[in-house]
Amino acid sequence: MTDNTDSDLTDVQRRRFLKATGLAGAGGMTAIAGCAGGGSDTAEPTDSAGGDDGDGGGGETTTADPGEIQEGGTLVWGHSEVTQNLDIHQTATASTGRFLNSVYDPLVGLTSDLELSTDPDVTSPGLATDWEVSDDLMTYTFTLREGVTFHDGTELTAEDVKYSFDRIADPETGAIMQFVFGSTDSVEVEDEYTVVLNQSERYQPLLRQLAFSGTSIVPADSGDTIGDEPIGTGPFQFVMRQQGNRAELEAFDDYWGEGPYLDAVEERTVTDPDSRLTGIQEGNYDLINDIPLDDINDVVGNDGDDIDTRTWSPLSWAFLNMNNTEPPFDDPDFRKAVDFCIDKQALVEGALYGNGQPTASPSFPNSAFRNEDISPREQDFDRAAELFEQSQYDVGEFDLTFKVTTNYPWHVDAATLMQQFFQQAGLSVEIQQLQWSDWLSQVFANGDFTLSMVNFFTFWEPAYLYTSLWTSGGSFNFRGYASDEYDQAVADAAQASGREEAIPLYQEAQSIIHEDVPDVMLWFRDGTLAAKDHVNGLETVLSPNNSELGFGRVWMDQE
Amino acid sequence: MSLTRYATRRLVFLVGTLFGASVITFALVNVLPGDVAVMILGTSGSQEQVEVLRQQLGLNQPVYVRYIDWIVGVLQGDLGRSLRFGDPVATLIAQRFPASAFLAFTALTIAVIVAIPMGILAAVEQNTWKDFLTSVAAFTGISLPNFFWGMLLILLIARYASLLPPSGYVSPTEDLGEAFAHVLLPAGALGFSLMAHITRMTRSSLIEELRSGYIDLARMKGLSNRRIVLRHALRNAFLPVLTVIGFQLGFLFGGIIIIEQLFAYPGLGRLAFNALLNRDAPLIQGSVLTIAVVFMTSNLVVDLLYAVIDPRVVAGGEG
Amino acid sequence: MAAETGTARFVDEYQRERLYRLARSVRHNTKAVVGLSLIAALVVLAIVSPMLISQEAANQVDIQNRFAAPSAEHPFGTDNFGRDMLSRTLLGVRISLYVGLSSVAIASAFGVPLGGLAGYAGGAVDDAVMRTMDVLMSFPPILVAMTITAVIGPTLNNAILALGLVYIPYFARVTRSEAISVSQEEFVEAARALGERDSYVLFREVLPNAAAPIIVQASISISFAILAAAGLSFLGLGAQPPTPSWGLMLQQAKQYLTQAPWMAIFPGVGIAVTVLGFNLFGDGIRDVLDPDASSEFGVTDE
Repeated sequence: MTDNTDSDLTDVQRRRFLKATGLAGAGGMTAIAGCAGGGSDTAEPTDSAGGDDGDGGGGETTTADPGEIQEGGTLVWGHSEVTQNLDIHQTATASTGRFLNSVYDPLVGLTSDLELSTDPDVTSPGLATDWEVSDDLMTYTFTLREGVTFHDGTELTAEDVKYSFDRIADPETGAIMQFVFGSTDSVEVEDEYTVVLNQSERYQPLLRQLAFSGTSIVPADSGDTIGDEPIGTGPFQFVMRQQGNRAELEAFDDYWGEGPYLDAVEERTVTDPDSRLTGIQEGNYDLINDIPLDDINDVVGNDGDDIDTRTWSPLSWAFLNMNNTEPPFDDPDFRKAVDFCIDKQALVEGALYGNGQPTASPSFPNSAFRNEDISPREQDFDRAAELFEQSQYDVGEFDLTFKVTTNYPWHVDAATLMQQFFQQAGLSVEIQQLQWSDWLSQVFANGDFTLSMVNFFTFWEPAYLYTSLWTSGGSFNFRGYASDEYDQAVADAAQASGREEAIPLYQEAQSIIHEDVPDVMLWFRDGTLAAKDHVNGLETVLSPNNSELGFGRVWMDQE
Repeated sequence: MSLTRYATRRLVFLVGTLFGASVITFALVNVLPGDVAVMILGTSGSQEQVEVLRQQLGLNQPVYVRYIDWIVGVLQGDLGRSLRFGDPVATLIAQRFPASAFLAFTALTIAVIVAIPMGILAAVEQNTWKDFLTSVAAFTGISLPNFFWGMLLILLIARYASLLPPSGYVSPTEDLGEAFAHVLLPAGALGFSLMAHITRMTRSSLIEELRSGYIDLARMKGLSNRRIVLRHALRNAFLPVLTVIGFQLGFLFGGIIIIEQLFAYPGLGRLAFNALLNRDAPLIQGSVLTIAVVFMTSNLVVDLLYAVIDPRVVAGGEG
Repeated sequence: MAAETGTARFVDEYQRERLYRLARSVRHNTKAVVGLSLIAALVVLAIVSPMLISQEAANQVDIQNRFAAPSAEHPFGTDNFGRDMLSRTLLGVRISLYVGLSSVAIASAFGVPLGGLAGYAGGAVDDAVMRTMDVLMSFPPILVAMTITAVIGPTLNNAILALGLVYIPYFARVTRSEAISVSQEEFVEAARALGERDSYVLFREVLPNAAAPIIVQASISISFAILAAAGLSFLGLGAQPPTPSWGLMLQQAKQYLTQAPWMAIFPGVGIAVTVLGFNLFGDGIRDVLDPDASSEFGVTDE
């Protein structure tokens, strides 16, 4: 249900935001993703008409004139990160998500305005043609698309959906989205193309979360093999992956939707930013994600070369972690003092070369759930000194280690800058560069750290974000933050009767963490894509979650 | 003692040393902190799953049991499976080995081809400006780290001049031209310091030979200068040069790791380094041991060559 | 007692005589003199620079002026954080000397006694020690250092420990050669015949005579240690930001090579000058000890 007033508001917000960040005018803009107005939980699914979801603004999938599109060719993609676990239900990394997004489809479709949709032509189409939600949010009935084939030739039926959801719900699987089915009693196959979810409790975010790639549909009984050989319903099928080096996707001829137009996609892992850029400039790659930060302005501003670019915000969000379970960061005053030491804008300038902006809330800028009343604390050494005094610890008695990972050089830069700030305040901090694998075992698994820094992708959905990061049992709560108030707010929001009730609860959650400062929110980082000008359909590549990539509607000039 | 006995003795020592090396490698690697199981499962693994994986990977058995399992496997050609890639370690090493061998060989060839003539020139033109210039160049070569040369080459030849690519690898069996294009820069960087040492050694040992008695005798007999230099002096001067090349092997093998990293060259050094960073124990063990074996074998070959050329070495036993 | 005094005096004079002759030859050797002057200049710089340049000044971030080319205000330009390259390069001298001297100190502290013992005692002791050294030397030094720092954690001090460990065999070998030849000298046999304790002979007779080649080895090893430590820092296994270590600066310079080549040039020159100094000095002394350049005196380049 698209409300006209809401759509105007979104457009205005969007334009203001574009101006504020100076991104307007940079070559090629995708819509800033944000939660557009319009309830999507209890409403009827949007009518599929001409591929547009009525919200206006750029960035929607524009179906190209079939006469123009040329088929064929292999797109070589220079990928900035190493893909990890290939099991779509288990993997938690954005890098793998980028790769597997073209292989799988979720049940629920998503437009680039973050509206749920049944339209097959949206940026992230779903496998459901219709759904019905009971008024008490206890029963969800989904009607599946017919004639959809998996890459192994079998047809998609309700059995596959049941299997997929049961698998995710099973704690043995270790699925990252297991919590989605936390209050689901059963998943039933009503007939070949109808699936019913029965809840034991209301869970308001459920429908939104079924649009995540982590809840994608896999063939029944494929659990043992999909980690090695992913099989999905998406436009591309998995061919091979040599971790850290390269991977291949091949066009799936029996894809149920429009396209794909390419013959194949070859991923090459190029973690070195300079090599990525030189690579595309020299024609070794057709497309790269993540242009090196210090070169972005040059590349984006350069109209004379043969490279198109796309920039958007946010790609990811970074935050400073403090171990809440140990001195000195078990004291909220000490933590807040640290917040006052940091000049966030200087960090963006220094570490990101201006390609980002500070934020106090991790919610997407145009999200209805975002709390606009909180803003990043400005650097204020007097306030910091006051708070250090107030705390139970003496700032001078500590020699802290800041563990930062080498796979994100700009994090190391940010750490270097923050260390200078801390020094000015009298807090002694030493930097230790870690490999990602060590960070996982030391910081994430064992909580063996005092200061660290990490970023987060795919965080458009508030329940996923606020639950996993800061609730006492949250899967990403490695800082050990525990607040009953916060837990209550988030639990209430999950149990809300609808979006309108949930919004203020999530906003309260944001206020609580802004006050308690379990972490210091640092910045939103801009996302960038660069492609040779013979690559078309670039506006369809970015997934609505701002992180993943889909190649289903990309085509290249055949020369 | 005869050459064969010398060779056999050295070979026996080699095997003994190798066992010692394998123990050290295993010990070092298995003392590594950082839980590989956690690394594999990433942020999605629960505590129970980590335990299950550790069990599967056999990480809970006592160290000496794991060592014995491993060494028995090695002797049969099975170096285990990479924890990260899942592929057999032996396969991964075999894939990367040719690239490193090609790089090392090219580097050594470049170094020798450039250095020996330079050394000869310096020796023959001793104490002239040409000699001085060579010395300066040589000393600069050994004083700068090889990765600095690498960066310089990348800057000048790959970026400014765009003559050669700054990364990647093509097998010489596929396309010799392309292969050389990709290997030339890293080999050059690796070879620079080698070049310098070899130049200096060639010069000094040739000078010494030219001063010695039998050369004067040859001159008196009327042989032309050139013939003297090329045939007599060089042959005897070659011995110390060989020694230097032998000493440089350690440098070569160590340098290869850094250079492969700098040039994103998919060789054994890079494999070992990344395995180290990823705490991929079987892969680290396998690649480090392989590098040690190749290193020791190269040293042995150099020593044997030495012995062949100068029988005095064999007669006097080894120091 | 009387015998001891007698021997002591005789040996002292002999040693002093050798030292004088050595010093004179060294003074006439250009390489050694140039090398020594360079080293002296660097040492002075290392001592003086922290008085002139504070750590804070060297780490002072100035984003507005990042990537500034060399100018009057910043003679060596600025880096990606706008930090003054001149200050950082000069402070790097301390770090390089610290790394070079400490790792070699560790290596010789263990290697020299071990080698001396092996050479002097001979037999089974010799075999045991030297076999262990052989095993240690079967790995390329950088590989071992890398593995060690990866195990115990990447810091500058750990890199020093690792390098110290790795260079032990080289000192052991040199000392052992010397010990073997010296222990066959007459005055040593005389000392033993007079009933001097083995340890006395070892420390007062054998080792001082090995001093010169050990100094040569030390000089060469210092230069290699500096290069190796730079390599480790370059790989991220040594000094951590924001330490003004030259190797670390080169790592950071790599990303910005085209836009700010001075970020790499000056640390590179710093390394070159320092390494050159020690190389020249070591080379010069080696020339003096044995003008026969092709013999190595057991001294090894790694």
